[in-house]
Amino acid sequence: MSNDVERQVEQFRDRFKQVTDEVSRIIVGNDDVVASVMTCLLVKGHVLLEGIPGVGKTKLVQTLADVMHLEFSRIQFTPDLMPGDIIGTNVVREDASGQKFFEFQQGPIFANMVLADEINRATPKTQSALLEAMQENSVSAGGDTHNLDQPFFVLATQNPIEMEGTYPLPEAQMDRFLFKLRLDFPGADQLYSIVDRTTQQSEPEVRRVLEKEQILEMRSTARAVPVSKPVMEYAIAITLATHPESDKGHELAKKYVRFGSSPRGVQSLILGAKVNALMSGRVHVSCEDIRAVTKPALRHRILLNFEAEAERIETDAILQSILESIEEPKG
Amino acid sequence: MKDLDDIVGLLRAVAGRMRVARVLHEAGFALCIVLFALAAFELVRIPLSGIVTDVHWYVLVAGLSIFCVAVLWRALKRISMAQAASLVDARLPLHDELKSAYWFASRPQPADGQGAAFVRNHVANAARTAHDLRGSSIVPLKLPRTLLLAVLPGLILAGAIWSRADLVRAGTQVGAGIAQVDTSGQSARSLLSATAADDEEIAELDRALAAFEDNNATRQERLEAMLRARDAVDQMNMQAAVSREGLARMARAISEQPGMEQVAEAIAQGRTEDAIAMLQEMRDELTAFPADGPGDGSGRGNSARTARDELPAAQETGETGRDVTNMPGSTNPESVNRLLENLENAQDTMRRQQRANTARRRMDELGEMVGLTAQNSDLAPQQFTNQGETPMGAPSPDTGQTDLRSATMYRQASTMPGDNDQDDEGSRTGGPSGHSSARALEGRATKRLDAMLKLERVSVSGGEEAKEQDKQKAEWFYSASQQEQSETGFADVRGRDEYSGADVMKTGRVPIEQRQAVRDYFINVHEGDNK
Repeated sequence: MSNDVERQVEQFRDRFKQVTDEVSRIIVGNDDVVASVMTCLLVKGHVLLEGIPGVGKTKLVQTLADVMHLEFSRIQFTPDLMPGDIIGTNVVREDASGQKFFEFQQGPIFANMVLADEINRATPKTQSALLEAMQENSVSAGGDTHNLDQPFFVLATQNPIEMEGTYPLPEAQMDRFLFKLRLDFPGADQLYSIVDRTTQQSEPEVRRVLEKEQILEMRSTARAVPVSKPVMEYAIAITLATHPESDKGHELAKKYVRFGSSPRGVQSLILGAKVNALMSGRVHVSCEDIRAVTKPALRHRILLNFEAEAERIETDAILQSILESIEEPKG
Repeated sequence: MKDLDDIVGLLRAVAGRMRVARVLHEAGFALCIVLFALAAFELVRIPLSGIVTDVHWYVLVAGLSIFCVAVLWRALKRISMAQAASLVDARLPLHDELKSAYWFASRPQPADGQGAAFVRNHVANAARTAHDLRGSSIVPLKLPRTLLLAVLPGLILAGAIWSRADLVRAGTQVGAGIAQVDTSGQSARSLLSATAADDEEIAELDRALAAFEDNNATRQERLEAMLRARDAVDQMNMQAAVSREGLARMARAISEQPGMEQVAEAIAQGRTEDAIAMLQEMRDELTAFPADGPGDGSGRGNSARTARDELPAAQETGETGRDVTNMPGSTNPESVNRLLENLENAQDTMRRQQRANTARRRMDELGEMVGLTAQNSDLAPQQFTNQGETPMGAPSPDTGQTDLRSATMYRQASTMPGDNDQDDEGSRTGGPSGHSSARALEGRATKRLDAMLKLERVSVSGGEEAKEQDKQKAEWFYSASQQEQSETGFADVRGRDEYSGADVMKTGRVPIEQRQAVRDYFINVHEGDNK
């Protein structure tokens, strides 16, 4: 049995590495972002990507879909986009006998990997339609519920600039994303590689290294990783530290945070840490794994107050301070 | 189960070593604190021996005991397996492997499922890791750094204890020290044995010396004994000064008597023994050849009729000489006997003064040996008054001293006569303004000053001119009379007695003997102007 577990872990790592290696042939840099996106995919999570235009958000998602042999669809969110444009609508069809009937025409959300590009440009009504599908893994149209095919994985992007005329996601909807990842502007060396790769006669191509079934198997493996109570206590302590009203709230949280992380934050920490542990070759989660996923898992779940906005305090700074102040449980 | 045993075995070993290491650390910390506290106490105890008492010591010991118990209780607190696992995970590092595995292993395992397989695999991996580990490699036992820190206060404490023990040893050996310092082999107390045993000052000095030489006496008790001894010696010095002045007056009185010139000269020059010898010879002659009557040519017989009945003891010596002067006629054996008696008394007083001063000097030297009267000690003359470095604000012609630093001389020189001078003596010596409060170290007001002032105010039975001069001088505090004219020469002052200049340099003060000599010198100079 032990050999079987070790084989699963080794297989998990190999497949994970194959995906990231293939993606890195197209996407220059941002290896940690690629790994985090993979982590979300393997724990049934969704990702919110944030970055300025042109840093490769859409390219990253497209490349992942190509590498993992998943059905991919892209939705460009605009202010006039309607929910039906996403989830689909009932259309009147006529059969051979001339009898008319309603038939559900699936929208672009019926795919394994959905790219919701510039999600903050659609109206809240449209956003909520997508977010409902993310949470329930199903859509309702015309009184019928349609399950989404697994794996179902949404990658939403949003642009931190040009906020005029946008509809920022409500906090409750932001909470649906497992991770919020930031794509930084590439450095000089990375820019050289980008230009070198994309201005040749032929761009590099990726091969499909992961099938849908393998992804589901990896999901099962990731969920099986045990987490001991002391490690869970550590994750809970971090989450509680983001709450200003809590006795265990951090000093900065009490000063700059309006609302702390939801219980989904702890779930995100544990799930992300499990994948991180497997990628480290371990079959148990450590506090170190919790720390590794704290920022992407909690940064979008913390609502800052006006004082923090005025002083340009970012959630990452608060989380970093929390990580430095909380000691690991001694048992 | 075996996996759990391996893990628990390692964790127990680590927990035990952690406990020992913690005990060592806490013991070092406690030792450091205790040594610091004791060293500080010892350091404070030496200069503040009068303030720091045994009660403080008991309080300190009780506090330290409570502290040690608290530290011991904290050090012996149980270390859990989880704490040991956390330590092992952190030190190797094992990424919480042992901590997590111990938590899973110590609880019921899920029977089946993928999660159970992962848990079993995790525990098995942790057991293998624990099997390969040794507690000694994870928690090596070594002396804590706090023990190194304890070296410093330990050295300070040892030094303080050693110095205190040295003081005690020196105090215990005071008697032996006296014998060593005294070249004649006599102790300070033995120097007094030759003097009158029934004398009050001698008795007080003897008691003070006895207290000083007591092996069981504390430093404070020795200090107090030394103060009492100095006070008694000061009394004797004053009496000796009065006796000397009486001798001077006696010399002037009998110098006018025919046949007594040599005796007067000997007395005036301080050769008391010669004077006594001459008077004894004279008495023998008178006894062998009694005079015919009051009108005897020698003029010695009528002196026997002289009777002094009003003079106090302090002036008796001088007035005896006046008897001889005032009663013209021949000298009789009774008169000579009275002269002899007073001379011997004066000589005895001065000898007693010398012995007392010698005893006091030796006591001072011993006090310096044991750290009681060093230059900067409690009894240093600078501490008697804040005028130690400055001349006196009210120079007194009584002594001619205007800048002596000795406390006693201050008291003698700057005290002005008044209704309450006995009470105010201390305050008048305190500061230039004369309004500072009296200090306890200066002791009670002495009678000697009053005696001296009375002595110097004795009116003369001279002519009208002399009375007029006395009246004019009465406005000044000191009014020297013609009878008080001293015949003491400067050379005599220089060579007088065995006063040692080295003693002045050594002790940082001017001994009473030297001050007396200087005082006599200036009296002589002052009276010489009147001649």
